[in-house]
Order: sequence, then structure tokens, then C-alpha cells
Amino acid sequence: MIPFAHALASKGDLPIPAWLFAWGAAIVLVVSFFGLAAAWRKPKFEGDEWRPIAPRFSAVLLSRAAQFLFGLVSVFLLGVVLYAGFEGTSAPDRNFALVFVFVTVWLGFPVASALLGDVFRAVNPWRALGRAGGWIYQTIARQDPVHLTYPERLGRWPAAVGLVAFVWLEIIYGSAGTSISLSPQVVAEASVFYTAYTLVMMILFGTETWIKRGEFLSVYFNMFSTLAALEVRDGKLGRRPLLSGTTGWANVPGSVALVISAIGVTTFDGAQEGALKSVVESLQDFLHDSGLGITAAVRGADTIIMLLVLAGVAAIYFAGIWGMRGVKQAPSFPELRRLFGHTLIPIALAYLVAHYFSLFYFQEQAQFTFLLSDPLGTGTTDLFGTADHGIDYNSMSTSLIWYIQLGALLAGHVSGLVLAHDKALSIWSDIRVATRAQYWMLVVMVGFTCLGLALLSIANQ
Amino acid sequence: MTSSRTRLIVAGAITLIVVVALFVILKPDDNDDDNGPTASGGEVARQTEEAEKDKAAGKPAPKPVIPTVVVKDGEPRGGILKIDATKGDQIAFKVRSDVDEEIHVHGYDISKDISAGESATIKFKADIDGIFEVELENSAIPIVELQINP
Repeated sequence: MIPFAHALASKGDLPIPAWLFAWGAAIVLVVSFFGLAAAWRKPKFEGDEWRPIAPRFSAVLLSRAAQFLFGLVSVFLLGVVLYAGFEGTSAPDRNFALVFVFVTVWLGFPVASALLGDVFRAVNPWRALGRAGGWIYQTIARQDPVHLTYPERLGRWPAAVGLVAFVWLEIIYGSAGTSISLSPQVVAEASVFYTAYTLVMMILFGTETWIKRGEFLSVYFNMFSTLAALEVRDGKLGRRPLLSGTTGWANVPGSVALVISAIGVTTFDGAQEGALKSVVESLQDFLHDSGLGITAAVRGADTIIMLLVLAGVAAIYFAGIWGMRGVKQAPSFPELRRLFGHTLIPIALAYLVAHYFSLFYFQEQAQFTFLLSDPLGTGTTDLFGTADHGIDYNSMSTSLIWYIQLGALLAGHVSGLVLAHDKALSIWSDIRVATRAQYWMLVVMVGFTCLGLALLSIANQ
Repeated sequence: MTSSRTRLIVAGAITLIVVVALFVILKPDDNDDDNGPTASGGEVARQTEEAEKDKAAGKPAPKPVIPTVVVKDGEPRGGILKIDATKGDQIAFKVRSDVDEEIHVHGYDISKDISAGESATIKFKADIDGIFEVELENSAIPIVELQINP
């Protein structure tokens, strides 16, 4: 007997009525596809249309003093996570550390980045520590620190691996055996380990290089910020057309791996609670019967299924790209894979919102009431007088949750189609050929929408 | 160029009509008859069998059975009890345990202590919809899964 449960969820979402939403989704996809083919006849995202805006606000927001302040706050919060993790209660839902890392930061920043741009860059504690270290070195040694050259072939691969490892810790290591969730102490230990690892890498390759390529939270949140209309460039705040920041994103090696991992881990989390629950359980039993201990069997089985789900998600994308190869004058398969990688970013965001929106909404009530007043969860402090508040599960209706899930999936997949269509127009100047190539993307997008809806409709059953 | 555009729009319109037509034809009927909470899994099967036997033996029909979870060696016998109910229903279930434990209904945050060898009945009104777990708090073993439909 192996307990199911997300690390924190006290309330599980009811399955969406699939018949309604599947058809709704089909209509929107078909309309948007034909609408695009008929009305969107020239590439719109390929040029660079970034323009600086609000110079005064930008000067204040990006001033040295503001950067210092944001850095200080971020390092302080990292400290609170460590303190609460080591010293606080071991009940995950009463401890600041777990909710802050896995809900507020992990689920909050993707959405904040897609709306406001790369906000995590400003409040990244490791970047602040790295820059402070660099400044100290410069002051003492009176020269710039020397770094190794980062192997460009590695690209975003370290971040992709980091992302999978982080989610593995949360939903596989954390919910194994009979314990229902990750203990806050493990979160604190992992944070110490990750901080040490990140600082070493920053010393080796330079703070900014590692932030751009290897620090997985930065790279992951930055991926979503390419969707935003706001971007900071050369110390100035500016705006650009929505979605247009994505076009060159996947040119760096490992980018496709990162975005596929992002979709894959969310898919796995949804599937293990519903669609794949029995498969996971039989594999757990099989491994247990073949002599593995119960905890090892559970973790082993979950890990195998997670890797298979990642491979499955990659297969959907590669199948679409393989099909596109047959269109006349098509670039090579590896080239196409890279050219269309960015079209998956909105899908990764859509999956995240569809699966975790309600968890985020309910847990943030905890974050900003009792976890803020009593971060250790020991009942000894009441900093803001909100320590005895609870989560009001009736504050959002089930049907509203359903509509937000559906809305996220539709918006994500239509955005993906728009990006793919625009890219196709820049490759094939003849719109008829471009449209033919896009039948394949339509298959990919419909595939992902159906997969997403299927997961939501059989979640928790 | 214009003709290919017109053709596309026509094709799109036809596809849309077909999808809408399929949607209307395949839309399932809403038969939302509410028969109160139903339970399955756990000890329910055995209890139903006994009730049937009693009926056959001519005994008077017992009052509605409260579903029971029997915890033996720290685990629910016969698996997790599943209760399917509609918002507003009165939920009741009984737990019998061979160890000292605390029963915790997640989401509703109802807790009740239970001593080894005794049983406890938990009753509340289902006023939050969603899927909720009831677990033995100390060992974190789930014993009941509640699905409260809106």
C-alpha cells in the first residue's frame, strides 16, 4: 500500500468534465489554425522591435541602490528558508520552507516572468552572492576574477538536468515510502547543497555566465520571461511585441531539452495521480517483489516512469518535426528541431497553470497568513497577527478552477501555434508551403492539448 | 492568392460546423440524480454481503450502514475506503483501529483521536467540494478518499 499525495495538497481538484472541454479546445485550435493561415501572411516576430520605455521609472528600478536592496532581500529570504527548514516543524504544510520554495517561488515566478519579464534576475540570491563575491575579490586583488571558458556545447543542459532533479526531489524522493511529503529539513539540506554547488560553478565560469546557462531556476524562469512584452536591455527597461522574445531562444544547445523537461515533469506529476497511477503501482510492486526495499521500489518505479514520460513528450514533438521535414525545401531535422523549440514555451506555462493553479491559490493563503506569522510552524511566534488563519477552500469555486485550467491550456496552445506559424513563414516565403508544414505543428499542438485535458479529466481517480 | 484564401476560410468554416455538430450529437445527458453519499472499497463489500444475508434470513432491514474502515497492522483492511458524495451531503464513516492513532480529514481539518481496539465515528457536512484524503496522522497512511462533487 503506497500513499498517493502531492507534497502539500490538502484538497485535490475534481476532474474536469472532459467532453465539454475537449470539444471546446478542438474548436479554438481549428479556428485559430485556419484563421492564421488566412490572415497572418507575413512573419511578425522576426525583427527586433524593442523600444525603451518609462526612462525615469527604469532608472530608479534598475539603480544600484535598488539592485542592492533586492539582492539583500533575496539573500535574507534564502536565510529564512534555511532557518525554518532546520529549526522549524517537520510538518511540511506548517513550515515556511516547503511552501515558499515549491509553491511561491517555483510556481509563482513562471507566471510573474511571463507577465513582467525576467523578475527573478533581480531577486536571485545566488546572483547577489556571486556579485558580492566578485566585488570583494576585485577590491582586494585589484583585478577582475579570471574564469574558465564555458563550453558552449553544454548550453542549457545543466539547467535541464537541474530542473528534472529539483522536481524529482519534490515528487519522487519526497513522497516515497510511507512519509507523505518532503520534510522541510531535506529542503534546507538541498538548499545548502545547491548554494554551495552554484557558488563553485560561479567561481569557475563567472557569475553571469552560470546564471545564463547553468543555474536552473534562472534559466527556467528566464525561458518564461521571453513570452513577456517587457525586457531589460543594457540597464534600460523596454517593451517589445508579446511573444516576440522567444524566437531565437532555442538556438542555444540544450534548450529543447529544457522546455521538453518542463512539460514532461508536469505531465508526470499529473499522470501519476490519475492516468498512470495503476502502471506506476504495478511497477512498484514488481520492483518490490524482485527484492528491492519498499522505499527503493517506489522511488525506482517513479523514476523509470518519469523518464518514460519525458521520452514520450519528446516523441510527440519530434514526430511533428519529422513530419515537417517532408515539406519541400525544408531545413534538416536537427535544424528544424532547434527552429521550432520556442513554440513549446507557452505550452510549458499552460501545463504548469492548468495543473498547479488551484494548489498555488490555496497555498498562498497559507503563505501570506500563518506561514508568514509563524514561519517555523512551532506556534511560538505571531509576527503579523495572522498565525491562526487557515485556508478557505470555498473561496474559489470548482467551476472557476475548471475554466482557468481550460483557459490556460487554450491560450498556451494557440500561442504555440502563432509562434510556429510565424516561424514557418520566415522559413518558407510561400504561404501555401508554410501552411502545409504547419499541419504537422497542428498535430503536435492538438496532441499536447488532448494530453493536457486527459490528465486533468482523470486526475485523482 | 485570393482564391486560396477563400478556400481556406471555407474549409475552416466547414470544419467548424462539423466539430460543432459532433459536439451537439455526442454531448452526454446530464442525469444528475443525487442519491446521497455512496461508498466503495474497504470493508463495504463484506458489509453489503452481510446485509443481503440478513435480508434473506428474514431479519428486519437494518438502518443505513455507516461505512467502516478497519485498520489492522497500521493499514486499512481491503484498501482505501472511497466515499463519493455531493456538496451539502452529510458524511459519516467509522474507523476501527488496532493502534493508537489520530484520524485527520484533510481540507476540512477535522481530527479525532482513536485508541487501540476501539472505534470512532466521524460525521460532518460536506460543504467544500474537491477530493480529500483522510489519513492516520502519525503514520501518514491514507484510509479514506472523499470525493465531494459540486
